Amino acid sequence: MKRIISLVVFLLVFTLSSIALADDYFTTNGYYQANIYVHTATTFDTAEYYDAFTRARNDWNSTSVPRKFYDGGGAPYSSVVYARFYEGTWSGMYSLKSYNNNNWHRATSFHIYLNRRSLDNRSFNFKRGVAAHEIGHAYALADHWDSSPTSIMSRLADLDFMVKPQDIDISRATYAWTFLNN
Amino acid sequence: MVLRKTICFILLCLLLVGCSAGKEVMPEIVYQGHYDYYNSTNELIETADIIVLGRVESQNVEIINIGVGDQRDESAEFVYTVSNISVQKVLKGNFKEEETIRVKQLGGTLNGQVYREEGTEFFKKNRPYLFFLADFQSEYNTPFEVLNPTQGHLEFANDEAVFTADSPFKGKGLENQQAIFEHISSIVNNKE
Repeated sequence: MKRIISLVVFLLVFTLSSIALADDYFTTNGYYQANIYVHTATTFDTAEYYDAFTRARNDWNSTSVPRKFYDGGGAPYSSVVYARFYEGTWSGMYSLKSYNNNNWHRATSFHIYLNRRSLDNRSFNFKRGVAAHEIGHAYALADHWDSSPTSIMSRLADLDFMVKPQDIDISRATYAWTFLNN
Repeated sequence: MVLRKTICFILLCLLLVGCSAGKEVMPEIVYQGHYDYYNSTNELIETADIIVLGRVESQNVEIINIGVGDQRDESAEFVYTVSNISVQKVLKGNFKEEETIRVKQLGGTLNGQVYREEGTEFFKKNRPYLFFLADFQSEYNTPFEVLNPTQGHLEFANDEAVFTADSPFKGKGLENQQAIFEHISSIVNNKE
Protein backbone atom coordinates (compact mmCIF):
# COMPACT_ATOMS: atom_id res chain seq x y z
CA MET A 1 0.00 0.00 0.00
CA LYS A 2 2.84 2.34 1.00
CA ARG A 3 4.54 1.65 -2.32
CA ILE A 4 1.44 2.55 -4.26
CA ILE A 5 1.04 5.81 -2.32
CA SER A 6 4.72 6.67 -2.92
CA LEU A 7 4.33 5.96 -6.61
CA VAL A 8 1.22 8.14 -6.85
CA VAL A 9 2.96 10.99 -4.98
CA PHE A 10 6.01 10.67 -7.24
CA LEU A 11 3.89 10.74 -10.39
CA LEU A 12 1.96 13.74 -9.08
CA VAL A 13 5.13 15.70 -8.26
CA PHE A 14 6.68 14.72 -11.60
CA THR A 15 3.60 15.78 -13.53
CA LEU A 16 3.25 19.09 -11.69
CA SER A 17 6.95 19.94 -12.06
CA SER A 18 6.80 19.07 -15.76
CA ILE A 19 3.84 21.39 -16.20
CA ALA A 20 5.66 24.19 -14.34
CA LEU A 21 8.77 23.65 -16.47
CA ALA A 22 6.66 23.56 -19.61
CA ASP A 23 4.94 26.81 -18.68
CA ASP A 24 8.26 28.61 -18.39
CA TYR A 25 10.16 27.44 -21.42
CA PHE A 26 7.77 25.92 -23.92
CA THR A 27 4.97 27.22 -26.05
CA THR A 28 2.02 25.34 -27.49
CA ASN A 29 2.73 26.79 -30.93
CA GLY A 30 5.42 24.43 -32.17
CA TYR A 31 5.15 23.01 -35.69
CA TYR A 32 3.42 19.61 -35.80
CA GLN A 33 5.90 17.70 -37.97
CA ALA A 34 9.59 16.95 -37.46
CA ASN A 35 10.64 18.39 -40.79
CA ILE A 36 9.64 21.97 -41.39
CA TYR A 37 9.36 23.42 -44.88
CA VAL A 38 9.08 27.18 -45.27
CA HIS A 39 8.81 29.37 -48.32
CA THR A 40 11.44 32.09 -48.59
CA ALA A 41 12.05 32.47 -52.29
CA THR A 42 10.13 35.67 -53.00
CA THR A 43 9.55 37.18 -49.59
CA PHE A 44 12.92 38.69 -48.79
CA ASP A 45 13.60 42.23 -49.90
CA THR A 46 17.36 41.86 -49.78
CA ALA A 47 19.99 39.14 -50.05
CA GLU A 48 21.34 40.08 -46.61
CA TYR A 49 18.15 38.92 -44.88
CA TYR A 50 18.04 35.72 -46.93
CA ASP A 51 21.64 35.04 -45.89
CA ALA A 52 20.87 35.78 -42.25
CA PHE A 53 17.87 33.45 -42.26
CA THR A 54 19.74 30.72 -44.12
CA ARG A 55 22.61 30.91 -41.60
CA ALA A 56 20.15 30.69 -38.71
CA ARG A 57 18.43 27.71 -40.31
CA ASN A 58 21.76 25.96 -40.85
CA ASP A 59 22.77 26.73 -37.25
CA TRP A 60 19.69 24.87 -36.00
CA ASN A 61 20.06 22.07 -38.58
CA SER A 62 23.64 21.39 -37.48
CA THR A 63 22.54 20.65 -33.90
CA SER A 64 21.42 17.30 -32.51
CA VAL A 65 17.77 18.39 -32.36
CA PRO A 66 15.84 15.61 -34.16
CA ARG A 67 14.10 18.05 -36.51
CA LYS A 68 15.16 19.92 -39.62
CA PHE A 69 14.17 23.23 -41.15
CA TYR A 70 14.10 23.32 -44.97
CA ASP A 71 13.72 26.02 -47.54
CA GLY A 72 11.05 25.03 -50.01
CA GLY A 73 7.68 23.40 -50.10
CA GLY A 74 5.25 23.56 -52.93
CA ALA A 75 2.56 26.14 -53.52
CA PRO A 76 0.32 27.13 -51.89
CA TYR A 77 3.01 28.08 -49.43
CA SER A 78 1.57 27.50 -45.99
CA SER A 79 4.55 28.48 -43.84
CA VAL A 80 6.39 31.57 -45.01
CA VAL A 81 9.25 33.77 -43.84
CA TYR A 82 9.07 37.47 -44.69
CA ALA A 83 11.70 40.21 -44.37
CA ARG A 84 9.90 43.48 -45.11
CA PHE A 85 9.03 46.84 -43.59
CA TYR A 86 6.25 46.69 -41.01
CA GLU A 87 4.70 49.49 -38.97
CA GLY A 88 5.33 47.72 -35.67
CA THR A 89 8.01 48.06 -32.98
CA TRP A 90 9.03 44.38 -32.95
CA SER A 91 12.11 43.15 -34.77
CA GLY A 92 10.95 39.55 -35.21
CA MET A 93 7.58 37.85 -35.01
CA TYR A 94 6.32 34.25 -35.05
CA SER A 95 2.64 33.91 -35.76
CA LEU A 96 0.46 30.83 -35.91
CA LYS A 97 -1.56 30.67 -39.13
CA SER A 98 -3.39 27.37 -38.80
CA TYR A 99 -3.51 24.77 -36.05
CA ASN A 100 -4.61 21.30 -35.06
CA ASN A 101 -5.71 19.85 -31.72
CA ASN A 102 -2.27 18.86 -30.46
CA ASN A 103 -1.35 20.08 -27.00
CA TRP A 104 2.12 21.36 -27.75
CA HIS A 105 2.85 21.24 -31.46
CA ARG A 106 -0.33 22.88 -32.70
CA ALA A 107 0.97 24.78 -35.71
CA THR A 108 0.14 23.29 -39.08
CA SER A 109 1.40 26.50 -40.66
CA PHE A 110 3.05 29.68 -39.41
CA HIS A 111 4.62 32.91 -40.54
CA ILE A 112 7.94 34.33 -39.42
CA TYR A 113 8.41 38.07 -39.94
CA LEU A 114 11.70 39.97 -39.82
CA ASN A 115 10.94 43.68 -39.53
CA ARG A 116 13.27 45.84 -41.64
CA ARG A 117 12.05 48.94 -39.80
CA SER A 118 13.76 47.64 -36.64
CA LEU A 119 16.54 45.59 -38.21
CA ASP A 120 17.97 47.53 -41.15
CA ASN A 121 20.38 49.52 -38.98
CA ARG A 122 21.43 46.47 -36.93
CA SER A 123 24.36 44.14 -37.57
CA PHE A 124 24.18 41.00 -39.73
CA ASN A 125 24.73 38.97 -36.56
CA PHE A 126 21.73 40.57 -34.90
CA LYS A 127 19.51 39.74 -37.90
CA ARG A 128 20.79 36.16 -37.80
CA GLY A 129 20.17 35.97 -34.03
CA VAL A 130 16.58 37.21 -34.42
CA ALA A 131 15.99 34.64 -37.19
CA ALA A 132 17.39 31.85 -34.96
CA HIS A 133 15.14 33.05 -32.11
CA GLU A 134 12.03 32.93 -34.31
CA ILE A 135 12.89 29.45 -35.60
CA GLY A 136 13.06 28.43 -31.92
CA HIS A 137 9.33 29.18 -31.62
CA ALA A 138 8.60 26.66 -34.41
CA TYR A 139 10.43 24.14 -32.19
CA ALA A 140 7.95 24.92 -29.36
CA LEU A 141 10.37 27.11 -27.40
CA ALA A 142 8.88 30.11 -25.60
CA ASP A 143 10.27 33.54 -24.84
CA HIS A 144 11.52 33.75 -21.28
CA TRP A 145 13.11 36.17 -18.86
CA ASP A 146 16.23 34.46 -17.46
CA SER A 147 18.19 37.24 -15.78
CA SER A 148 21.57 35.94 -16.94
CA PRO A 149 20.66 34.87 -20.45
CA THR A 150 22.16 31.59 -21.60
CA SER A 151 19.50 30.96 -24.21
CA ILE A 152 18.74 32.50 -27.57
CA MET A 153 15.08 32.50 -26.52
CA SER A 154 15.73 34.90 -23.61
CA ARG A 155 14.27 38.36 -24.11
CA LEU A 156 17.47 39.70 -22.54
CA ALA A 157 19.90 37.86 -24.84
CA ASP A 158 22.29 40.17 -26.65
CA LEU A 159 21.71 38.93 -30.19
CA ASP A 160 24.69 40.86 -31.55
CA PHE A 161 26.81 38.25 -29.82
CA MET A 162 24.54 35.29 -29.15
CA VAL A 163 23.64 34.40 -32.73
CA LYS A 164 23.22 30.62 -32.56
CA PRO A 165 21.04 28.25 -30.53
CA GLN A 166 22.85 27.53 -27.27
CA ASP A 167 23.25 24.17 -25.48
CA ILE A 168 20.19 24.87 -23.34
CA ASP A 169 18.11 25.66 -26.45
CA ILE A 170 19.21 22.41 -28.09
CA SER A 171 18.32 20.44 -24.92
CA ARG A 172 14.93 22.09 -24.63
CA ALA A 173 14.07 21.69 -28.33
CA THR A 174 15.03 18.00 -28.11
CA TYR A 175 12.98 17.58 -24.92
CA ALA A 176 10.00 19.31 -26.52
CA TRP A 177 9.97 17.05 -29.57
CA THR A 178 10.69 13.90 -27.52
CA PHE A 179 8.36 14.40 -24.57
CA LEU A 180 5.82 17.03 -25.60
CA ASN A 181 5.25 15.60 -29.05
CA ASN A 182 1.49 15.78 -29.41
CA MET B 1 -29.06 2.74 -1.26
CA VAL B 2 -27.25 1.34 -4.31
CA LEU B 3 -29.95 2.78 -6.57
CA ARG B 4 -29.57 6.19 -4.91
CA LYS B 5 -25.82 6.17 -5.45
CA THR B 6 -26.25 5.09 -9.07
CA ILE B 7 -28.74 7.89 -9.73
CA CYS B 8 -26.41 10.46 -8.12
CA PHE B 9 -23.52 9.19 -10.25
CA ILE B 10 -25.55 9.37 -13.47
CA LEU B 11 -26.75 12.89 -12.60
CA LEU B 12 -23.20 13.99 -11.91
CA CYS B 13 -22.06 12.57 -15.24
CA LEU B 14 -24.89 14.31 -17.06
CA LEU B 15 -24.03 17.57 -15.32
CA LEU B 16 -20.38 17.29 -16.34
CA VAL B 17 -21.26 16.43 -19.92
CA GLY B 18 -23.77 19.31 -19.99
CA CYS B 19 -21.18 21.77 -18.71
CA SER B 20 -18.57 20.73 -21.22
CA ALA B 21 -20.94 20.60 -24.20
CA GLY B 22 -21.44 23.95 -25.88
CA LYS B 23 -18.34 25.25 -24.17
CA GLU B 24 -15.99 24.32 -26.95
CA VAL B 25 -13.17 26.78 -26.63
CA MET B 26 -11.54 27.94 -29.82
CA PRO B 27 -7.76 27.83 -29.37
CA GLU B 28 -5.92 31.11 -29.25
CA ILE B 29 -3.86 32.49 -32.09
CA VAL B 30 -0.66 33.56 -30.38
CA TYR B 31 1.74 36.21 -31.62
CA GLN B 32 5.29 35.97 -30.33
CA GLY B 33 7.13 39.23 -30.92
CA HIS B 34 10.77 39.93 -30.22
CA TYR B 35 11.49 43.51 -29.13
CA ASP B 36 14.43 45.65 -28.18
CA TYR B 37 14.99 45.68 -24.43
CA TYR B 38 15.81 48.97 -22.67
CA ASN B 39 18.41 48.82 -19.91
CA SER B 40 18.09 52.47 -18.85
CA THR B 41 15.51 55.23 -18.65
CA ASN B 42 17.71 57.34 -20.94
CA GLU B 43 17.58 54.70 -23.69
CA LEU B 44 13.81 54.40 -23.41
CA ILE B 45 13.24 58.16 -23.37
CA GLU B 46 15.61 58.88 -26.25
CA THR B 47 14.17 56.10 -28.43
CA ALA B 48 10.53 57.13 -27.94
CA ASP B 49 9.17 59.52 -30.60
CA ILE B 50 6.29 60.49 -28.31
CA ILE B 51 5.96 60.50 -24.51
CA VAL B 52 2.55 61.46 -23.16
CA LEU B 53 0.45 61.00 -20.06
CA GLY B 54 -2.99 59.91 -21.12
CA ARG B 55 -6.17 58.16 -20.11
CA VAL B 56 -7.75 55.32 -22.06
CA GLU B 57 -11.22 56.48 -23.10
CA SER B 58 -12.32 53.57 -25.24
CA GLN B 59 -11.00 50.50 -27.06
CA ASN B 60 -11.88 48.55 -30.16
CA VAL B 61 -10.48 45.48 -31.88
CA GLU B 62 -9.60 45.73 -35.55
CA ILE B 63 -7.53 44.12 -38.27
CA ILE B 64 -4.74 46.47 -39.27
CA ASN B 65 -2.49 46.01 -42.25
CA ILE B 66 0.97 47.12 -41.11
CA GLY B 67 2.69 46.49 -44.46
CA VAL B 68 4.15 49.30 -46.49
CA GLY B 69 3.88 50.14 -50.21
CA ASP B 70 3.33 47.22 -52.55
CA GLN B 71 3.88 44.81 -49.63
CA ARG B 72 0.52 45.53 -48.01
CA ASP B 73 -0.86 42.08 -48.78
CA GLU B 74 -2.89 39.82 -46.53
CA SER B 75 0.22 38.48 -44.80
CA ALA B 76 0.73 41.91 -43.19
CA GLU B 77 -2.67 41.91 -41.47
CA PHE B 78 -2.72 41.50 -37.70
CA VAL B 79 -5.44 41.75 -35.07
CA TYR B 80 -4.96 44.71 -32.73
CA THR B 81 -6.72 46.25 -29.77
CA VAL B 82 -6.68 50.00 -30.40
CA SER B 83 -7.04 52.33 -27.42
CA ASN B 84 -8.32 55.86 -27.92
CA ILE B 85 -6.34 57.92 -25.45
CA SER B 86 -7.08 61.41 -24.24
CA VAL B 87 -3.75 63.23 -23.83
CA GLN B 88 -3.32 64.94 -20.45
CA LYS B 89 0.35 65.96 -20.59
CA VAL B 90 2.92 66.00 -23.39
CA LEU B 91 6.55 65.34 -22.46
CA LYS B 92 7.88 64.63 -25.96
CA GLY B 93 6.25 65.15 -29.36
CA ASN B 94 3.96 67.72 -30.91
CA PHE B 95 0.56 67.16 -29.40
CA LYS B 96 -1.90 69.26 -27.49
CA GLU B 97 -3.50 68.37 -24.19
CA GLU B 98 -7.05 67.03 -24.62
CA GLU B 99 -6.11 65.71 -28.08
CA THR B 100 -7.03 62.06 -28.71
CA ILE B 101 -4.41 59.65 -30.01
CA ARG B 102 -4.71 56.01 -31.07
CA VAL B 103 -2.35 53.37 -29.66
CA LYS B 104 -2.37 49.77 -30.85
CA GLN B 105 -1.53 46.58 -28.97
CA LEU B 106 -1.31 43.17 -30.65
CA GLY B 107 -4.21 40.85 -29.87
CA GLY B 108 -7.89 40.99 -29.02
CA THR B 109 -11.03 38.96 -29.64
CA LEU B 110 -12.54 39.14 -33.09
CA ASN B 111 -15.53 37.05 -34.22
CA GLY B 112 -15.03 34.73 -31.24
CA GLN B 113 -11.39 34.03 -32.06
CA VAL B 114 -8.92 35.10 -29.38
CA TYR B 115 -5.64 36.57 -30.59
CA ARG B 116 -3.00 37.10 -27.93
CA GLU B 117 0.54 38.34 -27.78
CA GLU B 118 2.71 36.79 -25.10
CA GLY B 119 3.66 39.47 -22.58
CA THR B 120 1.00 41.99 -23.60
CA GLU B 121 -1.58 43.15 -21.07
CA PHE B 122 -4.23 45.42 -22.50
CA PHE B 123 -4.47 48.93 -21.07
CA LYS B 124 -7.24 49.38 -18.54
CA LYS B 125 -9.97 51.84 -19.37
CA ASN B 126 -10.05 55.15 -17.46
CA ARG B 127 -6.63 54.59 -15.91
CA PRO B 128 -3.78 57.08 -16.42
CA TYR B 129 -0.68 55.80 -18.17
CA LEU B 130 2.57 57.33 -19.32
CA PHE B 131 3.17 56.08 -22.86
CA PHE B 132 6.55 55.72 -24.60
CA LEU B 133 5.49 55.50 -28.24
CA ALA B 134 6.81 54.91 -31.72
CA ASP B 135 5.38 57.15 -34.44
CA PHE B 136 5.47 55.35 -37.79
CA GLN B 137 4.73 58.60 -39.64
CA SER B 138 2.40 56.37 -41.55
CA GLU B 139 0.71 57.35 -44.76
CA TYR B 140 -1.92 54.76 -43.81
CA ASN B 141 -2.76 56.39 -40.46
CA THR B 142 -1.42 53.38 -38.55
CA PRO B 143 -1.89 53.97 -34.80
CA PHE B 144 1.12 54.54 -32.56
CA GLU B 145 2.62 51.65 -30.62
CA VAL B 146 4.48 51.32 -27.32
CA LEU B 147 8.21 50.62 -27.70
CA ASN B 148 7.74 47.19 -26.18
CA PRO B 149 4.83 45.52 -24.39
CA THR B 150 6.28 45.65 -20.86
CA GLN B 151 8.58 48.69 -20.77
CA GLY B 152 6.71 51.04 -23.08
CA HIS B 153 4.14 52.23 -20.55
CA LEU B 154 3.89 53.15 -16.88
CA GLU B 155 0.59 52.88 -15.06
CA PHE B 156 -0.25 55.31 -12.25
CA ALA B 157 -2.45 54.79 -9.21
CA ASN B 158 -2.96 57.92 -7.11
CA ASP B 159 0.04 59.54 -8.79
CA GLU B 160 2.32 56.66 -7.80
CA ALA B 161 3.84 54.50 -10.54
CA VAL B 162 2.88 50.84 -10.77
CA PHE B 163 6.04 49.36 -12.24
CA THR B 164 6.19 46.36 -14.52
CA ALA B 165 8.83 43.81 -13.46
CA ASP B 166 11.37 45.07 -16.01
CA SER B 167 10.61 48.78 -16.02
CA PRO B 168 13.87 50.77 -16.23
CA PHE B 169 12.27 53.29 -13.83
CA LYS B 170 12.01 50.67 -11.09
CA GLY B 171 14.40 51.08 -8.15
CA LYS B 172 15.68 54.47 -9.32
CA GLY B 173 13.95 56.52 -6.62
CA LEU B 174 11.48 57.74 -9.25
CA GLU B 175 8.17 56.67 -7.88
CA ASN B 176 5.73 59.52 -8.08
CA GLN B 177 4.43 61.21 -11.18
CA GLN B 178 6.16 64.54 -10.59
CA ALA B 179 9.63 63.00 -10.08
CA ILE B 180 9.21 60.90 -13.22
CA PHE B 181 8.07 63.91 -15.29
CA GLU B 182 11.05 65.98 -14.12
CA HIS B 183 13.45 63.15 -14.94
CA ILE B 184 12.01 62.75 -18.45
CA SER B 185 11.93 66.48 -19.13
CA SER B 186 15.58 66.86 -18.11
CA ILE B 187 16.63 64.15 -20.59
CA VAL B 188 14.38 65.44 -23.41
CA ASN B 189 15.53 69.06 -22.91
CA ASN B 190 19.22 68.10 -22.75
CA LYS B 191 18.86 66.28 -26.04
CA GLU B 192 17.20 69.26 -27.74
